Amino acid sequence: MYAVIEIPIMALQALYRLKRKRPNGPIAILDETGQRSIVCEVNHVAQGENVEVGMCPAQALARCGTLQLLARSLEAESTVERLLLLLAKTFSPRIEQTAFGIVTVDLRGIRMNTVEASADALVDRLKELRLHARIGISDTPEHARWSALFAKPVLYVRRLENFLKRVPLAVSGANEDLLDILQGWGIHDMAALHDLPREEIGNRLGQRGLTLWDAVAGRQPRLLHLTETKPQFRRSLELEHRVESLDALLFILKRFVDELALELELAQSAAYILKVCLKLDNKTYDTKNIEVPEPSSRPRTLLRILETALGGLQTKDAIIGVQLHFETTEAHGKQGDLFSVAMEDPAAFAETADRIATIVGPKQSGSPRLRDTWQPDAFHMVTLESELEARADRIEDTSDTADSHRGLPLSRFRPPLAIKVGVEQNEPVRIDSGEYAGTICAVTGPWILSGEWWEPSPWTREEWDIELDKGGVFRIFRQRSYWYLEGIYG
Amino acid sequence: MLRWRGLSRLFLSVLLARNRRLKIVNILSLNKIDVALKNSISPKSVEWQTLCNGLGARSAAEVNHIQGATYPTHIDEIDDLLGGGLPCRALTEIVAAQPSSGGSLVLNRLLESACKRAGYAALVDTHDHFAPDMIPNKLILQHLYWVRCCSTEQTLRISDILSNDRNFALLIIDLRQADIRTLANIPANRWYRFQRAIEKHGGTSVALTAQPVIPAAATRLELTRTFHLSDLERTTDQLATELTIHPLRGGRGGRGDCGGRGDCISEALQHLA
Repeated sequence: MYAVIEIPIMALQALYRLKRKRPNGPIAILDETGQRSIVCEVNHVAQGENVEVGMCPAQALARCGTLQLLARSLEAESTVERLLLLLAKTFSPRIEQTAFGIVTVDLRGIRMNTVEASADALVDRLKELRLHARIGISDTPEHARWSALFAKPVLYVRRLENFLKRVPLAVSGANEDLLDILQGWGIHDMAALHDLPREEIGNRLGQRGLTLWDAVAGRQPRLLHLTETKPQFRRSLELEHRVESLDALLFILKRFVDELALELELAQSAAYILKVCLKLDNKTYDTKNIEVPEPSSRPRTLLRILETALGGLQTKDAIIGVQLHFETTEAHGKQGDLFSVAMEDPAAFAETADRIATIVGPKQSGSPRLRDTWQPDAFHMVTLESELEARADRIEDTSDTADSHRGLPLSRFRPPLAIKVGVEQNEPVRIDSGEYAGTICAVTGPWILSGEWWEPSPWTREEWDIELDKGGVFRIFRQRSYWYLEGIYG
Repeated sequence: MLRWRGLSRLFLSVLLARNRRLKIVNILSLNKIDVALKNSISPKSVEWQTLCNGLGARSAAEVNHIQGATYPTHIDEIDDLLGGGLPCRALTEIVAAQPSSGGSLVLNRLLESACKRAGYAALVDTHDHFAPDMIPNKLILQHLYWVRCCSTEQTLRISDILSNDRNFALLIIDLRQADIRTLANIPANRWYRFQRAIEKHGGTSVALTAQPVIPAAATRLELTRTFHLSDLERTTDQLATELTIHPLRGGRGGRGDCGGRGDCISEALQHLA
């Protein structure tokens, strides 16, 4: 059993994918690779206007004045061909690139009751990639190819005799002389040819007649020339128009991500670094490496990460080229650990953290870690780890010092508020300025703290804990004869 | 929005005209209305389903499910008062009106409870007042995601983002030092939207404020004790047991869930009008 996946008017579809809106009206694709430009593909509207493949642009425009002539994009076509091959590989590893936009898949050894469902799924996946395909399934590669022509979008030929009645001889690909002879005999479809005795065909039409009869009868199916595909985790595009908005850039990147995610899936890999290289109009490049917190092959996750990372992007000039490259690692399932604490969705957290960092700044969010010093309020921020060892049971035993369990926690002012303090007999007695001005009714201290005397900038301070008569316990300190309100105990 | 409000009112009035036994008991947001039936319409009936679907309302079972789970704070006073801990999938407001009334103590205890429950906690700190060196155990910091904001608007934006992240079982918003006027000017529907996000994502959210300002809070507690300088010599465990908590809304000693939300109804109805 064989399947043929065909993308009709592939050059046109490859171009459609690059455009946000599907163009309407009569359209013809021009092949400009030769010495003179000729029409190589036309859509059905242009066909209705009698525009034919092989015409020169002037002839085509003479037939249809409203005809849109689009230049063929070999880059877009090769991408589509690659996608087609990759998706065909999800069907079976034995595939052949039969022709432009046509892939034949050898389905031998595959359970046939699931083939139709798989074909439907394949058509849907191609639709997601903005490609319309049709799939024919039959006993031989030739029958499968003919059935693909009549598929809407999948056709599984179960009764060959009935199917052959629908297939005109013209689709067989035989040369025109032979077809003329057969039509002269009144034979217009494959079933009629199949009804003729093989020997008589051989006697009258020779080898070429026998070859055609064998193809129709399904005798001696040809061997496939298997195609190998290696994963490529890089996509690039030179843009015709300058991109000046993130929206337009993301549209291109979404397409890249969809394609590369497919490559990842087939290679059983996951991306852990996304490299975006933007070619700018002033001939410079802007490169951004985005780390994926949890290696992933899911297109939605990867696109979300890209969106967030590029959210605040500003380039010095307009973008004229885009390249996306994935650094990959092996995708492996992770077994949950009973004794560890892990985030439900690390990728979602990475996105959240990025969004927050764009609002508050990169060093204003994270998980705090204390510095190894006696200096008050000495800490630095680190990235919150998505997986921790479970040590909840040890929380009671690992308290840092006995003092840390004593008293009320402080709510700090950053930076400390400069205040004026009335001092009598070397003790603060009132706060004279600011929101917290008032008489001090109780005081303890001073506690002299100092450190880093071996450094060029040593620090020293004199701390006092005070209570105001209007309520509230505060920490104040004196440093170089200036007083500061450090925080409120509460 | 105006069109939607008008349609909601029309829809409600038609239903009320058709069945007088229908009684609106609670309004949780401008366009999400909880409707309960006083007596006899079956929750399986077409009318009930139409009403719920039309208004995005929640069934009694759903409300019970939402209100069922609790998040222990390891502060006996609060846990006893609220029947085991802070309500999950809900916003709790803890009001610390006086300085040194124990707001930071509650905050540190909540972070400790997140660590004990082997989960992650997020702290949105409106004016960057949190002191990590006052945390008794370094392990607690490993479970903490701290966002140091510089304005109330920033705090609200960050809280919105974090309320949609399932990784955090506990979200604490410290608004104690935020300007009361700014807080009072926040449209009520913004808080209700936030409350719905919390419900949807299943976390527990606590807002520490200096005045009762959050209309969407399912539970509101007030810390009434004022600590003194001599209390600095005592252990935090002792101090935690001496916290005095007065329920303003929800909880066993408060006005109850339905009654407690009554003022929300009036606030929301005022807004609707």
